[in-house]
Amino acid sequence: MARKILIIDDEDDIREVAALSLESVAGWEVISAGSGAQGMARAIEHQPDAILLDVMMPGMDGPTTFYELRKNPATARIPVLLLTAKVQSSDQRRFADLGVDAVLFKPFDPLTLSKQIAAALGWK
Amino acid sequence: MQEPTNGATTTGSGQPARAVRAGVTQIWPILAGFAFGSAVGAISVRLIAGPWFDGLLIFAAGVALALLAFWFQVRNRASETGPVSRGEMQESSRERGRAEELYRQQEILLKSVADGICGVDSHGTINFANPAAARLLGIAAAGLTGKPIHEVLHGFAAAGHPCGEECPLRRAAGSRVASSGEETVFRADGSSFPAEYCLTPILDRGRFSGSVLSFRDISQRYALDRLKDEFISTVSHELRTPLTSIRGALGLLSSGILGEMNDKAANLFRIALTNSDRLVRLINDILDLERIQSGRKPVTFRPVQLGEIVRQAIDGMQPVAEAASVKLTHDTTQVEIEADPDRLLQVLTNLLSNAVKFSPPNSTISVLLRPGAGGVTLSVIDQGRGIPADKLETIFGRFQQVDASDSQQKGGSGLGLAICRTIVLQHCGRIWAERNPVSGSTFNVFLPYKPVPIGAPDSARDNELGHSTVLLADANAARRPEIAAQLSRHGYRVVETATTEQTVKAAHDGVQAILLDTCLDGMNGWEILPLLRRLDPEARTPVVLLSIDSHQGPTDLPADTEGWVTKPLNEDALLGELARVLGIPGEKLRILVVEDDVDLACVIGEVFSRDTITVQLVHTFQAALDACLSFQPQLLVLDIGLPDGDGFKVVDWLRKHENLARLPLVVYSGRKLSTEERRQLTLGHTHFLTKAQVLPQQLEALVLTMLHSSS
Repeated sequence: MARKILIIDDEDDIREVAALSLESVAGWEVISAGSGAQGMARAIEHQPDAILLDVMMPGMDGPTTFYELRKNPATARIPVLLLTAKVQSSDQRRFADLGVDAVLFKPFDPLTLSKQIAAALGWK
Repeated sequence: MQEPTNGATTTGSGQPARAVRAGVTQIWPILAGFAFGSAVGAISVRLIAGPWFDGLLIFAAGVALALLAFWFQVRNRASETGPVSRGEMQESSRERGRAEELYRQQEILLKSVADGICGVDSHGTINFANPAAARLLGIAAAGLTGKPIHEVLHGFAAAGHPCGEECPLRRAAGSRVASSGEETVFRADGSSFPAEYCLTPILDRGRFSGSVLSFRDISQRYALDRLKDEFISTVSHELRTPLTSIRGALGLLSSGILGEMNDKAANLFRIALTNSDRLVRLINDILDLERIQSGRKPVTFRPVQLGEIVRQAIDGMQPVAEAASVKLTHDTTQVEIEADPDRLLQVLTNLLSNAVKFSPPNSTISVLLRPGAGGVTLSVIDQGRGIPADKLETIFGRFQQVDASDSQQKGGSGLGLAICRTIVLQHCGRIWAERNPVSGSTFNVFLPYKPVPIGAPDSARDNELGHSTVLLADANAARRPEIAAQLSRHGYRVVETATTEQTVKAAHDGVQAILLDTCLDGMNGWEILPLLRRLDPEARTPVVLLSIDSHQGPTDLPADTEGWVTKPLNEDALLGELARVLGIPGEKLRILVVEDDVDLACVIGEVFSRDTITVQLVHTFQAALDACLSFQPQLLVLDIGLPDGDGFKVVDWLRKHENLARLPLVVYSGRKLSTEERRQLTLGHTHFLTKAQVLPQQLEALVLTMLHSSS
């Protein structure tokens, strides 16, 4: 089933590789945003099936963006997965407390990224 | 009358000169009172300083008239007063001067040292504090003396956080045992700092007369640790970010999903991908090691079946092992310990991964579990190229490889064993490597049944844990520490004695088993036994005799020995025997019988059927080989003539396998074998029997003796 995913990450290269991965391996449609603010706007406009959210971003960081997404009724129901290089257990506890739907780690395997997302959200 | 002529002594200001002047002043009028009047002329005085006294010789008209001797009253230490000469007084004042000088130097030291030092009396009250202590605690030294030490260190803690009864400083204060550690110290103004302290008792001629506390502020060290943690965390995160793009790009290209490419390109992409994976693993390992070591990755203990974890690890490693054409096997021992299953799985996976990396194709890696008293020893045995003897310890250090070529070819981070050791230490166990005599290495991990710090001084707790304490009585000072070390590596607490008297004294209730060398300071082991038994009439403590001659059989030994081990001492035999006499469940002796005559095989099997022995019967060459690997027998009864191969081939095959190459053998043949044939069939301890000539009971006695002896 074709899905629409929004990727929010300040690193251009990571956005490009993740997008290529989801498009060529799973055939999904990918929308990109380079900052939390841009991400909010794109989320409201395109209503994706899921959002991949980076944690460390200048300006609005991941957790702040997540709060904004949940506060806005237009985006509150979109599942959010953190995609992060912060792998320490203290970080993990913080993320769990946030209430995101899942946490995926960088570096990721481009051949299985779509499968990981699907598994985390209980898709097909 | 004249003033004294040699003025040197009398003009000084020191004690002797003052005394002389005082004496002369007193005596002069008396002299002047004599009716020497005008007839005499001048009276002169000469000072005499001698070894015994100082004196003034009084002359009149050239004739010595009188001698005045000066003595000093000195109060000495015992509050006696007694006369001493000026010479002695000068000597003692020189001594006092030296003592004062020494005291001054010590004072300078104590003033200058940066650590706080407090003298504490036997009641825990401070009787001395150096300036550093006063500065660190924010109280003048005078305000410190007379106060109880614990109150000064913890008394100002916030009301809501008093230290409890268990406070180490509170306990240490009145203790006669040295202690050290890290504690938070509170200043008078309520502020606090982390401190490292050391409390040492003072024993004055055997009497406890107080202690010395030294402590220092380690806030800087804590701050550095935090900086280090932050640095590593930041660096790890920073490194992962570009690696994400690299890994992602290479993964997509390598898969071919974006288009076909020629073989050379495909290979290069494969290389790039492998190495970027390796970089990720390295970053993970570094972070892992730092987190484990700094205590940020806590261990949670629960009861685990060690066999299960071994199986899990082997399953996980199976694909890698198959790719390298290496076989993984394990034994069937079931043992439960308290441990963190995830961490143990990490250790096992690491050890297996190393073993596979360094094993040649078509070799076997075996995982064995050996339960003992205290805990279980897990061994991973490979047939690779082995580790040089001088590297057996260093490989557990960080970023250590056996040699430089390893890191490139084998893809390791060099941290695997360091991580293993940290995890094993968290379980209060031990990990060490051995070089196998024939080929390859064995990595041993000892894990206690319950993770309790080794060497805990609480002997009551030791006894609760069960069978931990053994008495090792051996006069041989070169050999005894080695045996003690072997035993303690496997979790036993060892009490060593070297003479009969020491042994008898030490053989009290706390000891669970006695290992007795047969010759202890001249007395035979036999003779000591009655002495021990007198203390222990119900013979509840089992005795194992060491250094039995291999010619002796069980009937030659005194009736009340539980077990014996022959010389030369074999670690496995000793541990096995010890476990057996202590009644450790789970370690049955394993005998493999290879006999194609099924009826005969059953008869032999019957001979050995009893609780303590497991017998497996096989009838073909191939079944024999398989059973050797999976059953891991401790003794093999082998029929020479087998249908699909013969005994010779079995022995040759065994010789090539590390942990089987010295297996005790009983070779059964229908005919008598030549010397050459015997030589070919000998592994370790090998016995030859001709079928028709041996009764089952003889076979039984022989096998039991061999099982008890070294190989």
